[in-house]
Amino acid sequence: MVNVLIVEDSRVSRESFERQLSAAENYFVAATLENAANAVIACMRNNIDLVLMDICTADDESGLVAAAKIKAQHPKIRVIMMTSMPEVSFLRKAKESGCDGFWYKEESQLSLVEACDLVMAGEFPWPKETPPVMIRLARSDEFTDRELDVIRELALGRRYEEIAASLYVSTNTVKYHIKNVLQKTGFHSAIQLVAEVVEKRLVLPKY
Amino acid sequence: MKTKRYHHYKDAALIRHAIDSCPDGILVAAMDGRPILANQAINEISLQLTGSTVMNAQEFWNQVEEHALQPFADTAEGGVLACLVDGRVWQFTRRSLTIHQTEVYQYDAAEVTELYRYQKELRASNARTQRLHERQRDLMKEIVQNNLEKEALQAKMHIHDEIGQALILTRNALETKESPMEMDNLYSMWENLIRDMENAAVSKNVKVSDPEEELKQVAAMIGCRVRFSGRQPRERKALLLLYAGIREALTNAVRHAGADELLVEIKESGSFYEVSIGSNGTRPVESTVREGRGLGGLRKRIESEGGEMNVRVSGSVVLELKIPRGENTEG
Repeated sequence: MVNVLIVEDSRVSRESFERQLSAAENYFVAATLENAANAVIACMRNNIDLVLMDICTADDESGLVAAAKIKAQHPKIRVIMMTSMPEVSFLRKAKESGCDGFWYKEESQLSLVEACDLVMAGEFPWPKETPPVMIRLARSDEFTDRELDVIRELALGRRYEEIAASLYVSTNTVKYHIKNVLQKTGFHSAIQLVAEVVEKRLVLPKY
Repeated sequence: MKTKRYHHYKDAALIRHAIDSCPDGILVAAMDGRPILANQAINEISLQLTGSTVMNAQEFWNQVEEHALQPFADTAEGGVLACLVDGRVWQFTRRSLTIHQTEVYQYDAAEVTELYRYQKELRASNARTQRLHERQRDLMKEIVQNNLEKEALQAKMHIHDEIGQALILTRNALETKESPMEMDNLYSMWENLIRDMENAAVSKNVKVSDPEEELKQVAAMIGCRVRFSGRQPRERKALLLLYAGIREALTNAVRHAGADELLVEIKESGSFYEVSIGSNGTRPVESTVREGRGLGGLRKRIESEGGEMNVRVSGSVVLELKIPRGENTEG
């Protein structure tokens, strides 16, 4: 029997996941939580085998941060990150945290139980890319990594000078990237761009 | 002799003429304010400020200071800016000099009308940018909040679709008299739907989680009970800082001291909450506690919000926090 801890702040989703796993014979839902930071404590004891971890959890606690702590303290616990957000950095961060699987709640071809089975068997196929979204005229995968860095900084409400200092580039380079992104998307201002990328959840800098 | 005096007079007149044609104001005066040398420009300024040419340099300077404007951000040398009746802005400086072992004051005035205007425009423009910047930050917060509300709405729409589907299947089942096994599936489908609807009904708005309930749940999972004494913060930010502290103390108390009870005492003191978190841990602890990633991270978070953190060792470890009350952002 696989002991599962579910971390998900949406009550509807949480109970749906719990129901799906309870219906499968080899899974036992040990606990469900809303806040990722509490999951680190729950894993101290209780023989948890698998954690289903949402990325954006209650009180703005990041599932990615919690997953990294769990994997560092208990390498044997398997962790599946779950999200419905197309945030481009989530896949990379999950990989860096040592997570064992990454399940897109809405886009994945696998059911939740299938994803759990594959992770427990060590055969989970890691998604190659984040599902692209349209940012007005441009597909999200048309942006370069550096352009995405600049967009993320803009979404934090930073000024050009602050972005330049943060990314170790000149202010002109920042302006150059923004000009390119505006050209690709067809927006006229950075604020329109930021509103759209946050609306589409391409960038969620808090996590 | 007469020629020599004539030349001397002519030199003085030339110097006078040169000083008077200088566009800057020049005034040299004794320490008691008696003017020794004043050019035309400074006298014109004095006329506007005091109603007469310079009669007393100290009184002149007092008038300059009375008409002082807000200085430029980059005039750190201590000049005084003053706007005259004719609308021109001058920058005045005063310094003491020693001439033939006599101490005197030299006053200089330079016209900076254009510079002041640009500086004023720049200041207004910076203030406007700052306001726009703040609006942008607020907008970002609203967008994130709207996104979360939209997600809750989508979940409800999903349930709505499922109800439609279940109704169609039920009608078909009743019309075609399905097998008992399929009827069982239909029955469990309705059960799930009812459960989802119960959840959706309470998530009318984006739900604010109850940190106390969940923390007590995880504490119980690791065999520890958390007791509170005093009123918990009503401000969301302060509440979340408190729970970050409790989580850290809980982990350490159970892991290092074998505690099974944690006591959280909260007092309101001025603009802070004073929090003390202790445990009944009995395992011996060292006289000082090394701050690793957990405690270090907590200290950084508390201090970045204007709070304070202290780890006291008195038999067991006590975590003391001073959390700023801040504005009320409850709910």
